[in-house]
Amino acid sequence: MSIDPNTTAGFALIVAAMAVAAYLTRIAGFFLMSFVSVTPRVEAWLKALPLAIMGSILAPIALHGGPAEYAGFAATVAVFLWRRNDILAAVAGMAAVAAMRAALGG
Amino acid sequence: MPADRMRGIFTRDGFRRGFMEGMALLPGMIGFGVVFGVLAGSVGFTVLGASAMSVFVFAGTAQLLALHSWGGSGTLLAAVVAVVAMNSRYILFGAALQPWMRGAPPLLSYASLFLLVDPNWAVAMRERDMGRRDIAVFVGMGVASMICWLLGTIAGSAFGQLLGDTRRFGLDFFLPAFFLSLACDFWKGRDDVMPFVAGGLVAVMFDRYVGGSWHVLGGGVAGSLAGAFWPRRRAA
Repeated sequence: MSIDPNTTAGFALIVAAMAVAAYLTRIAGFFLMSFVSVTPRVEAWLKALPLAIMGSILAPIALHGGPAEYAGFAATVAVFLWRRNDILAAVAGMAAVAAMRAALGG
Repeated sequence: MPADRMRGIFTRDGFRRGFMEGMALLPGMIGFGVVFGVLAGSVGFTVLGASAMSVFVFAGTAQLLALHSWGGSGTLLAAVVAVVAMNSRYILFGAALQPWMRGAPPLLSYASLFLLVDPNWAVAMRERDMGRRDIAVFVGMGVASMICWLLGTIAGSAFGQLLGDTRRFGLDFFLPAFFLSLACDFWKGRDDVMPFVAGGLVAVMFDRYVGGSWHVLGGGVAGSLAGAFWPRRRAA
């Protein structure tokens, strides 16, 4: 297939294909789940899902991270426990990472 | 749909609450948009082209990955594969949203899902656990995210080259930090160890041997099933 992304038509076609693919990933699970009845086991699965996702997102970052990322994680947890505010904690984590990267020259 | 069945499922107040919470994520979303805009500009995107992609695809990590192999005749396939690989986690996110949205008109649900991103999904799960079912919170936050993402894209593709390396602002860490603080928020006790740790371990394996963001799907499935089948210490 030869779609040239440097032409307007080619670019538009590729963006359209990406948009369809992205929307399909957003509705696929929702669509399939509408045929599933929520038994206690399914409810337990859905309850466990957010933390499983969060563990999955964070573990590789922790594994690949260095001192700056660890400082960021620590600052996030500390500020969350202090103020119980999700966004404030995230901003603190980001600031800690920026400060550490500046200090370490990385 | 009779009005009483719809009550509380889509309120103006919920939209405002979601929108404001989404606006609080502004630095991270705009920053991420800038990162994308800068890279898009560097592979030859116009501001209009980058903006169109951000609006219609609306998936930061997928768009960034697509840029890696942009340019040749194989771009179409590579870009679609990038989207599926990075957005695979949304299959799981959508499944988790479905019971929460039951009772809403299908058209509203399917339209709302266009705005599904990481932060509004996490906030919807928080609302669910608090016993609230106002979809407008999810939509309001999605709209705010879209606005920030678009503003960032425009700024990045128009002026981004002036910024230099955006990593020094720690912007790439904003979303992980947000997820970590939400994990603290979700944490109720020992029953939460199993899904979190099992998900993390499986995700590390996927990250190492598969790539993309399949680790979120793989770890999410494994961790949540482990959590569902592990004997609970207290009644659910």
